[in-house]
Amino acid sequence: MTIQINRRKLLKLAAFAPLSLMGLTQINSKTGAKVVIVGGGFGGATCARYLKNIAPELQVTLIEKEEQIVTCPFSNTVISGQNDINYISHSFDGLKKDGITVLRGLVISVEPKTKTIKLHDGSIVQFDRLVLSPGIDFKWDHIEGYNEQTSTIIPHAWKGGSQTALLRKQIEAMDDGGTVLISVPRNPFKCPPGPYERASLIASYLTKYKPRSKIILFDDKDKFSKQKLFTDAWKNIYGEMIEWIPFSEKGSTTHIDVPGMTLHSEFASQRADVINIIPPQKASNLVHTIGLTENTDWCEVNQSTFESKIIPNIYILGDSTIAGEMPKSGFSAASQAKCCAHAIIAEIFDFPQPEPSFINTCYSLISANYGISVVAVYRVDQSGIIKSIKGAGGLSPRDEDLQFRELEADYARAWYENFTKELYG
Amino acid sequence: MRYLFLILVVIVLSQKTQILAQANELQSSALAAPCQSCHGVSGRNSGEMPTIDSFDFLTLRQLLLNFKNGELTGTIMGRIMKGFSDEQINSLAKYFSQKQN
Repeated sequence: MTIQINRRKLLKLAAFAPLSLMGLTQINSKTGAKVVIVGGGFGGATCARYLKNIAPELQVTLIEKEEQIVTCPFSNTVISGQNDINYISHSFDGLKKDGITVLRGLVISVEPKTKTIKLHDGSIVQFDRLVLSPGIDFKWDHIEGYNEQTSTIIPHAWKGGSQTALLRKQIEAMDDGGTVLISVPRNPFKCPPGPYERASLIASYLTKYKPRSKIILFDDKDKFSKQKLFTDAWKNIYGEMIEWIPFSEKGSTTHIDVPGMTLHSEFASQRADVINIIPPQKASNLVHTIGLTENTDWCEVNQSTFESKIIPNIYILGDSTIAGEMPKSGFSAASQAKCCAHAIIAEIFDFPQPEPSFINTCYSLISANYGISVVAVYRVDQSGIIKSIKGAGGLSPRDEDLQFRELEADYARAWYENFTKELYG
Repeated sequence: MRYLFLILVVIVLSQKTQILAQANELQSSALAAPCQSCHGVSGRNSGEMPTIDSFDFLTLRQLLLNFKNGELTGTIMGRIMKGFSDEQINSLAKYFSQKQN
């Protein structure tokens, strides 16, 4: 849809009947409102595009620190060699064509009172409304010895880009018979089924090229997303190659010995040839710096609009927020961004707030032709919390045949391609 | 003068109707937006995912209802449509059938 209010007609009418039309002329003067979005991932790019496409008169600016986005969804297909990194890399050309101003820059500070943002180069950006979709940051040193510096040797590969390429390189260089160790944090973290998809796709590569190798998951929890679907498939497709060690067997992961390539937990130690640590996570440092959290790891927002509960006119969506029962995923972020864009437009143009409706659709690939999914539909309940609708959603059935799994693998690829086309195409 | 006033009233009312229509459109757009991540902007897409902008209103509504009541089995559409009321399905079918090129 497109909202167009004919300005000339309004001005003409206003001259005749200034009182009854005052509301409308006010709306008209607001249409050039400046909305600034920080972060060009699934949440930010979606929000920018929906704002601009529904209300072209808005001045929409997207600030992103990277030249292009390398997505975390489908990065496991790059780590396993199914796709090149270009497959998951996207430029902002599509957004620019829509009339969105894309600025490359790092946000240093935000001044809510003067509604200004300061970038690393000293430049100042003015906003009427600010949307933040900055993603996650890591809790470095939560696992002793694991920090930004050691992550250049032991990759996390939980942000798309050079980290993805590094893990791919290490797996490619590993000898047959080697061990890949993946350390998985407890909830909440970004992309809950991601570590298990990663193990699956690395196994699909190793089965083909290094069949004597092993994959061990060191998990800081006792159950995980889509668990039975994963473990059924692991057994059927990869035999004994993937071993999952739950929290109850090994205790919390405590430290990493980088030179000795050994990961330690309370009751166990494991040496490996390739180690991938997915560290515990929190909302992006940016939101903590601005003061959008109060002694918590994540931001509290109005779950119908995504406006901060702490600072008005600042909206936070995606992985940095607590969004009721929604998991931290790219699809969730995009769904929240659409809700937020509609809410901002309703507010600026004085429309009633649309009733929010969300979907999360999440596919995982276990091999190139074996896909599984989980889906949920969400609404905001009377207490203002996003809740999944009972009786809807759920997992792929456990007893389905291989044809069904193959179809879901095809849909997984179509899902990624359509999804990224909507954002960046 | 009286006619002028009447004309003005009509114009103001039509403006208000337009605003109301836009408010409804905003609501429909908010409901339909999550579908577009898979099915493409305005329901047009590429790849294996079915395009949904080529159906007329009644056909699309029936299709979505059939997913909801289990008469039509797919991979995930049944799971999704169970989360929508018949009234919301009506609104979705209207929204996407009007996007036809």
